[in-house]
Amino acid sequence: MGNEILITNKLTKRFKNILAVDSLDLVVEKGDVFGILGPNGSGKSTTLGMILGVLSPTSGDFSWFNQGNSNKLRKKIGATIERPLFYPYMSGEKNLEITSMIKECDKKNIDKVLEIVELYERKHDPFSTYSLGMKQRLSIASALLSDPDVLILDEPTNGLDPQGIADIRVLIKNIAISGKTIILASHLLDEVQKVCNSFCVLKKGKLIHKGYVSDNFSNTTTIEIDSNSRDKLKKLLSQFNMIENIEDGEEFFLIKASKNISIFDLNSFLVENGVIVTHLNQKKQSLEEQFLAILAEKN
Amino acid sequence: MNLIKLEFKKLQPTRYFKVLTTLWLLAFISLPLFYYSFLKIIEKHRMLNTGPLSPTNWPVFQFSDVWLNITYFYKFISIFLSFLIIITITREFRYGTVRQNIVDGMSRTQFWLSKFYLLLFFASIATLLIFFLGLFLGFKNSPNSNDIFLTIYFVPTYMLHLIHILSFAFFLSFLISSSGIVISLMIFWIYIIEPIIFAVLKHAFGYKSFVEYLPMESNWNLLKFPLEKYVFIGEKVSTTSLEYLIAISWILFFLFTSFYIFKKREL
Ligand SMILES: Nc1ncnc2c1ncn2[C@@H]1O[C@H](COP(=O)(O)OP(=O)(O)OP(=O)(O)O)[C@@H](O)[C@H]1O
Ligand SMILES: [Mg+2]
Repeated sequence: MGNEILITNKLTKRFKNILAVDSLDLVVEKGDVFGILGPNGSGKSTTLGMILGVLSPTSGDFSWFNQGNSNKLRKKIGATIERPLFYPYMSGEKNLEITSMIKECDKKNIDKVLEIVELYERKHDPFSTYSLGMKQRLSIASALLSDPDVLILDEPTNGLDPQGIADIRVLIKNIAISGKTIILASHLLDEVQKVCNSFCVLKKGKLIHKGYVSDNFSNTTTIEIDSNSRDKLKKLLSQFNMIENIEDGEEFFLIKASKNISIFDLNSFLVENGVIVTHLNQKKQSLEEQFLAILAEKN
Repeated sequence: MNLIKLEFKKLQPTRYFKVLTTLWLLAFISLPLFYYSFLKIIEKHRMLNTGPLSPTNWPVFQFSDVWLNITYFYKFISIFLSFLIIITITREFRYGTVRQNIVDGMSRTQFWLSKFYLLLFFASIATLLIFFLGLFLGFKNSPNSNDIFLTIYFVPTYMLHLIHILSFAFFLSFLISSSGIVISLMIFWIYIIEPIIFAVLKHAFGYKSFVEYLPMESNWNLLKFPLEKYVFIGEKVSTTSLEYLIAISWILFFLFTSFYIFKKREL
């Protein structure tokens, strides 16, 4: 008790005939870098819309900092929503002045955050003249403006160039290191893998998985292996009892083995039988594989 | 949070803002001239039974008649101000900035209030201008400075009329949130729909037709056609308490309904 930043309780949103979010129970704790994953239309943005006060839940509720959900609490949160929304006829700087008035925070931060997102040179230009990536950068700047303890980002790297994506990821990581809490909605799996420590997966509005990015919960593991005598290697591999499947790759064999396989035992076994391994690599399961496995499992 | 300061920041002169305020100011300044030429035309063509005095000799710009004369004729340009209200509200929906404002930590009540304050601001400015214009015209045309403020209540009544029409625009903007539709609907209502209802009611019920309860009719009734005063000497052109009551009821209806709609709507 006391460490929770956000608790949702059976949070539900129904649009006419679509159940966009279905009894969602989530807890985000202080210091978490929490990823919300899910295919298109799974309810990520709708969930964020509710916890940010723009959509009213059909049923259920949520609480920020264990203090409910008043607008005052939102001032302590920095958030980007699906699309960057600003006054097009005003400059980036003027737009941030409006944000600072609403958030009741210091205007002095404006230049600083504009520098962080590398928009400082363009701060006097009207928002309408910005490119998509620049608009996205401005919305990240506005989220950072009040130096909030909690940052909510809905697909923050959408529309950014590769350098921009890398920069934003470094930025998120640095913010996370400083002890802040981050909630990140994305369908870019490697993004979540790179920056988040815990995550959940939504599908058609339902929470179908909750866990840590470092968890490896699949029962099998994938190993790349090769030798100068391929035929002999294949024969031996098929004799090794923890191996379930051998696939002939161009450069190496791709084997699927039980999670409990010992690489040491496998290698010793091969050496004892006169095969010298030229390539051996146990692949760490990526979040993408986990994600696809989770989705497949729940089908 | 200083809501009115925030509104001023958002109000940065955009093209539509400049055009509308310029139009309004031009109309504002030129109305007295039109007024005078209008009287001249009446006189020249003997269009009306003009009563004992010839129209150009009517003391329209003298104290204290000036108040009732200018307030009546200035209500024709209130519609420009309501367009300003419509555009400042609906563009928040079009740009989605209302969403961003709420996410940033405004409450819906604060957002609604900030727009309401803007409405009051527009109404106050226009009323102040009318007040100064009245003083200017009065001092310029009156033979003496008696009775300057005798019928000054027409000025607050004018403000009530402004708040009424602006609240109507305010209500439609929160209801429909698309400037094009709101502006067309407003014009359509004022010049076509309500006059039809008016005619039908009059036709069906005759004298006791309840037309004074119609929203825009109640607005119009706040300030009556002043010139009859000079044709039929002794004709009263003041507003009855019932008329005030109906107008205020509509204002409250527009404001509360828009508040309720905004509280409920998805952004
Ligand atoms: N205003 C709305 N009216 C009706 N249906 C809506 C509305 N907003 C969202 N939906 C529906 O709710 C579901 C969830 O949408 P949401 O935007 O939350 O998905 P998402 O997970 O953010 O998807 P994406 O990855 O594409 O951003 C979708 O089926 C969508 O069609
Ligand atoms: Mg989304």
